[in-house]
Amino acid sequence: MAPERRGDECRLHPFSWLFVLVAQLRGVALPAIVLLLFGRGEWWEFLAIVGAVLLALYSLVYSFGFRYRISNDELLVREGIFDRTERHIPFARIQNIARRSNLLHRLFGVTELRLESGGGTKPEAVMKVLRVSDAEALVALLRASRTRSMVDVDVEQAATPAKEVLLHLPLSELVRFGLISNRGMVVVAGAFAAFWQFSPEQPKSVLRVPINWIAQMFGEVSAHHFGLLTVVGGGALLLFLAFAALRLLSVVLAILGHYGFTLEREGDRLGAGGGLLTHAHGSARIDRLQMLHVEESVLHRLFKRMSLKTDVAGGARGANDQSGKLHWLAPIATVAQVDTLLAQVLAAPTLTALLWRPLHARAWRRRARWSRVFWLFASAGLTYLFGALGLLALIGVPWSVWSARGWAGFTRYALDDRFLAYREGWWSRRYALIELDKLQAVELKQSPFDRRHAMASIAVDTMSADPLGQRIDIPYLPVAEARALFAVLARRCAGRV
Amino acid sequence: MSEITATPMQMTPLAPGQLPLHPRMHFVWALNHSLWFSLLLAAVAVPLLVRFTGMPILAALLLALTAGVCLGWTYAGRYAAHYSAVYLADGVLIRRGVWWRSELFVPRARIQHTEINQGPLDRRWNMAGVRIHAAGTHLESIPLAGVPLAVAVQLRDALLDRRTHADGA
Repeated sequence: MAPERRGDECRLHPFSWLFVLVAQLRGVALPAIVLLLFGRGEWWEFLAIVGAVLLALYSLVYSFGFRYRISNDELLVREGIFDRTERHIPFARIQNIARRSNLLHRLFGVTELRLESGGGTKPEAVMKVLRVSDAEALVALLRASRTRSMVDVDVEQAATPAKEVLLHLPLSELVRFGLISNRGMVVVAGAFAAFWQFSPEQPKSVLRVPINWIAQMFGEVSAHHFGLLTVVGGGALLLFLAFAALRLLSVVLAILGHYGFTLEREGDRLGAGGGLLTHAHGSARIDRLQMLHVEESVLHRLFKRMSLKTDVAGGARGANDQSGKLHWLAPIATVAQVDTLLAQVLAAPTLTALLWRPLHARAWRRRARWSRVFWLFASAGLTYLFGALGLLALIGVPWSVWSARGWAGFTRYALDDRFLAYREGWWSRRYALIELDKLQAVELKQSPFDRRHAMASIAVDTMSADPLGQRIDIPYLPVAEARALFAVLARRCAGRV
Repeated sequence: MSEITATPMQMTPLAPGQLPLHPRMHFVWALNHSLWFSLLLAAVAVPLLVRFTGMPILAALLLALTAGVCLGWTYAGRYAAHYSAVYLADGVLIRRGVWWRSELFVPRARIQHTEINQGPLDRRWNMAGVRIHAAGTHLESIPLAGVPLAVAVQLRDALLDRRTHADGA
């Protein structure tokens, strides 16, 4: 039943149970296969599988009980068979609409729709799954209702906002992105860890396979009596090949994940997405964007590129990164493109145009202190153990001074009448940018060392940031400057201008 | 547990200013820190004393307890001296910490909800702790030290932002 008719109760796509089933089974499929192939028939393992199948059956029935209805200003979602829930979601509270479709979805011409509100970690409603046309109609209806309920000016224009493509990534850029991102390494490490998990009784056997290969190779090498140069050269070549294979895998993953990546603006919303097999598309209202992150690693700089990410209000990030929520504004872009995007999306000044202010003049000394102490102790310990050779570790001392100077040379903060920005790093660099009226709390911190050097640090808290990710925490500021900054930020985040 | 409310007489709006610390709070801090210092000393110093000075275990434990209580009381004094919570017209400013000091400002518009907690001792002393929940990520739950119950209730009401559609984003 098409959802555009108000007041009618709508159901999900008739094949919804299939997708719920697949989602449920995906979690147990791999252990089940492993169990069937390698299991020794422990009864409790089979019991676990029977439990999982029962769970899947329940969710199948559950998906039949899912109904939704659209009234004038709210969406009513009813779900559950035994434990019934009825949720009234005012249109005004729906902040993010995320659509996700994988290969199976596309085969059936359906899509999964998530409606998220401002707070909480769970979406307000997950519709698994709707016919694509129904989903589009529902999304259009939600947007139209929202626009009507908010302001009555320019309704005509807002009802059919023009789509404006802000960024489109060609294949060549995705290849660069793959080369930079090195996700292949992560995947290989993950696979290795999983492999280890499945044979816990003999972890050494996992390592034995590659070790045997190497031993075999060395056996053949020594049998042929190659010279030292050949062996070293061969080893280097092998390492290079392994490195190249990992990078190639990263490129493949980048293309799979972001093929045809497009960032577009539709009225007051931003939408971005791409992907070869699984197409993930996320969108959010521009005023819901929180902190913006720009990354510039060594490899980024080698290719003269940057990447631009955003936190979006509503739900915690990380836990549901797969939801198709807006996250990447530009997986990879040139410096000029990033500047243009910042200007187009937030009317923000370019990264170079911001008035960057340095940290305390002695920041580098404090930054270098602990690593200098570490290298001195390490050198003393190594000298005690291995004699004069241990003195080589003293190289770490000038190194820590050099890297601390480099770090303090780049690390800066900037404050203008709308934004707080922070940049940090030396070889690998990152920028963070937040609108002042989106700060949630401001903190001025002083460690005993800070007090001795008349310094302080300023940290700000923002909404929906990755709890393990990077935040704005500006260290080593002169204490008077930190107090002034604290006062300004507190005033601005309280809404006093 | 019954609902935490104060009598109507106490329900005058809270005036901006420093929140009064409940007189018993110093004792609570002292007790708390004494416990931790005593445990720490018992775990670290007692084995060393017994091993290297041949002191009987009971004597070493007693020594650790005494030293722990002295340290705890001193530390609590310093903690209380550096602690302050100020209710401002547009938020709350909290200063805390002895060695690692922090000044934290949470604007009222960003406060999602507040909580009042009372333990058995708190109820006996008419004291309550207030916990502020903000919409941030790292500082989403901020505890305030014990205040008189009436102040806690006033503060809770004062901090509630009753504007509709204020979701803090």
